[in-house]
Amino acid sequence: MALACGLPLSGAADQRPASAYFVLDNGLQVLLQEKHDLPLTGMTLAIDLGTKDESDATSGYAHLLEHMLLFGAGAGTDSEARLAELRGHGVAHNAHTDHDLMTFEVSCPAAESAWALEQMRQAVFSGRLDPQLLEREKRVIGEEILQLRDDPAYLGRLMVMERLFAGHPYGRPVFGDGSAIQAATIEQLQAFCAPRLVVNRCALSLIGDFTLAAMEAEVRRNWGAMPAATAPAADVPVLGRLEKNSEHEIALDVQECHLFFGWRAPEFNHEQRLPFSLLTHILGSGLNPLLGGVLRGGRQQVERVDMSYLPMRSGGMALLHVILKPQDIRGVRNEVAAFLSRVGSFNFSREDVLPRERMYVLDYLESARNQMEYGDANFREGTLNLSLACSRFLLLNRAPVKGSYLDSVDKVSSNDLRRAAGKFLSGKKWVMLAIKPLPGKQQ
Amino acid sequence: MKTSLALHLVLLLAFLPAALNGGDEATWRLGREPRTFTLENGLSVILQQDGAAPITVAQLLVRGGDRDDPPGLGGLSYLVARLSLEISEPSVLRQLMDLGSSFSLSAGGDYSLVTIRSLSRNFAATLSVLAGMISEPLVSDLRVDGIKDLMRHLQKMEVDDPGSFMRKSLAGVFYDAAAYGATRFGDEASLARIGRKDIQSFLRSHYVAGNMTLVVISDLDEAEIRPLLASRLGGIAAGEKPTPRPLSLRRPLRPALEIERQTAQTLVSLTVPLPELNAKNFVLATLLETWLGKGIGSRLWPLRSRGSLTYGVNAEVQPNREAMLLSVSLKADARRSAEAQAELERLVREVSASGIAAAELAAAKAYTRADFWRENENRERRAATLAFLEGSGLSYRLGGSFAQRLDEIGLEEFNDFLRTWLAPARWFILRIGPATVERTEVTSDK
Repeated sequence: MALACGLPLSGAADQRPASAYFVLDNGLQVLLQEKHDLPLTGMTLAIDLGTKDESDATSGYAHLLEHMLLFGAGAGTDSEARLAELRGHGVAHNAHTDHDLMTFEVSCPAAESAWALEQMRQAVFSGRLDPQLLEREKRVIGEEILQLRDDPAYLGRLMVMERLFAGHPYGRPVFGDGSAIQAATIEQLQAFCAPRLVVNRCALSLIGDFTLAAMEAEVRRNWGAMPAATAPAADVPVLGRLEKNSEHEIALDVQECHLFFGWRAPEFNHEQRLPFSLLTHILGSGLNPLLGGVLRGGRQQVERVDMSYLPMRSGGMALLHVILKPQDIRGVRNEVAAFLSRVGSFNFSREDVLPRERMYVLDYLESARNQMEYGDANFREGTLNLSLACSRFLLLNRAPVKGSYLDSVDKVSSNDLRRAAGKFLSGKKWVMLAIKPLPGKQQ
Repeated sequence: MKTSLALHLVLLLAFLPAALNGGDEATWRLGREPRTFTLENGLSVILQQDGAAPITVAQLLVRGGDRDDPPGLGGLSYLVARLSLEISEPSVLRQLMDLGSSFSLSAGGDYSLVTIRSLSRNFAATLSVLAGMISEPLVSDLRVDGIKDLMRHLQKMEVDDPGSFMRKSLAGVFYDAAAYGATRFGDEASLARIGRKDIQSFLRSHYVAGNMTLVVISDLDEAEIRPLLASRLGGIAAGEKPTPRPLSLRRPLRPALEIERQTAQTLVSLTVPLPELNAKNFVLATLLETWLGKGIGSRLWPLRSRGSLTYGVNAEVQPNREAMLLSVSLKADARRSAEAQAELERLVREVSASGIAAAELAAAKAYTRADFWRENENRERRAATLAFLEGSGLSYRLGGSFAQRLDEIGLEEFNDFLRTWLAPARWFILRIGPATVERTEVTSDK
């Protein structure tokens, strides 16, 4: 497990950080890594509880529950006093919910690690849900939804995902159905979370300025006595291919036009996850995104191109976001379709062409490998980022671990990229959404 | 006796550097203490060794931002900075792609910052390519027109993002010239006016070694980095720092401004000018910003936790060299925005009148200290912080002594700061959202 997160389970003999992975008797998975650059510790608790666990009647409950736990009183009686106490210890905390998981994240001064670990356990597992807080958080979630709906980048992503996974749990918005949230009671929320909010559905990851032995003892003392429970497995079917294209258009009060394309993509444990990840990086990220060059090479005025990939446990989404002029929507649509129809035979590497042609060819694969190596090292500098990624990995990964992440990146070939493109992009159905400026509002 | 004297000498020598430095030279508490040196052409370098990862980040600071745009030529400093990063030919792009290196530009009010990211094993080659671009940018009409098109797009993106639009609008209100973001990407008139002569003149005056500072954070040691920088960046023309254009803060003509947008929420902000930017005031402003509106449980958090008026509150200091601005803001359902504004004003008035208690100040310091470390955990952010401190006329050393300076802030001192700078007479209210017939005037006791 730790190897796949890139954390060697060895000591400091080779100057690599010391790490440890273990499972408590109650089923809690734990990953620890020493990092002594600054006196900070990042810790994340991931819970196998998300939008996938909801029904029509409980739509939005997971996210609402996250708010209740994050802003609740924990084991105390006053939520504002609890928040003030956390700040007084230098603790920053937050939480997130997505379709698969809920995560609670804490960053604290290293000297407060043990105290913060105890606070995290109390916040999540105290079992107290305050009715007054419930009513307040319902209104706050209403504001959260409004805020996100004013943001074209977020709104586009949300609307594409809803349409790409229509009829599947991943097609439900994380914020849920407004009516289900408004009608929610404490009893209903408790009934929803009781079987799922259990320690054996959790993974805890701590990265920071501590010693392994001391932190392992602290984790065992603090979390070891929690009871395990029978946890129902969320049975979410893996998605097949999309049957037909769909194209949509809305208007917002914005100056620029945003065009989104969404495709179904490999799930987290799919063998082509890594090649597809490199492929989307090559197509829409980095110094010279391939699709940027393709679109700017045509007659369209494309301002920005960005492609991302979201692998989830039972499906994945590739999202292309283009900023352009409204009159170029049709042209860009056709250009993207035309390019993707031939990307399954594209030369991504200098090795794909004859030696005499190599000096004129851009090596997208080598560039992506190096950029991912940089990105990986850069990412690891943040203790909270790293703990979040590790705890998520522990719950999502089901594949056998073979070597480190960067070793696996190095093994991806141009053929792997073409296969991934052929299977998931070339000629595949998409969801397209255009967000245009309100009539008469564009400058 | 001789032994004792020798011992005293050893002790004296051991502590001499700290004793001579005095003042700001507290124990460095942000990774390893950086080394500084100056290349022969006058380019100053701040180098921090950090062996935690085999990557190198370099931040090249060029003094002169949009506050230095000549009258009527808004956007010039950004255009020139962008021009210096234009990839001149396919072979250059090919080299950078092979190296997996990247670079980006952050243009500000007081300076521009070029960020260079590289695997350390490729840093020498990366620097060779980029040094050539930066030291001899090609000024052609085709390139300039391309950048102007990009700037038109950036103008629109700036308006589309509520936070950016707020900063742009506030700059227009508070500064007596187009500066600090008021027209960072120019406007149609200024873009039409900017010509090759203007660009070349700005290049000659600002893109000289004496006007630049390079911050490097790398696992490579000084013995490797120093000759590398000398050979790659030694070719940048020598020259002195130009004198910044005079600029001052002005009192807003009206206490409030409303900008209409057809959005679901209204952004409401309350802004006050803060005192001149120096080390003391910067630390005070950072403490105030964090205490008021950074993170869950901040002083303004009751707007969310009690009133359910907003999803989140925010406070931000714009630490411009000539004058800092503090804005506290929230986004609320347009139909409740008047209530949200009234509550925001009530809370800030209460803070100004009642100040902070000792225990709360201690908690605020603990959170701010940890937050400063969190913000600078990553080397790219840390290098940008050190560059900002230099570019704003402070000193990179404040990065290492920040925690100590924070500890030194006294209760009376901070309460004086609150009373003076948050006084209702100093407020400016900005609303961006749907038109409303509700009150927009500040209801403070003016």
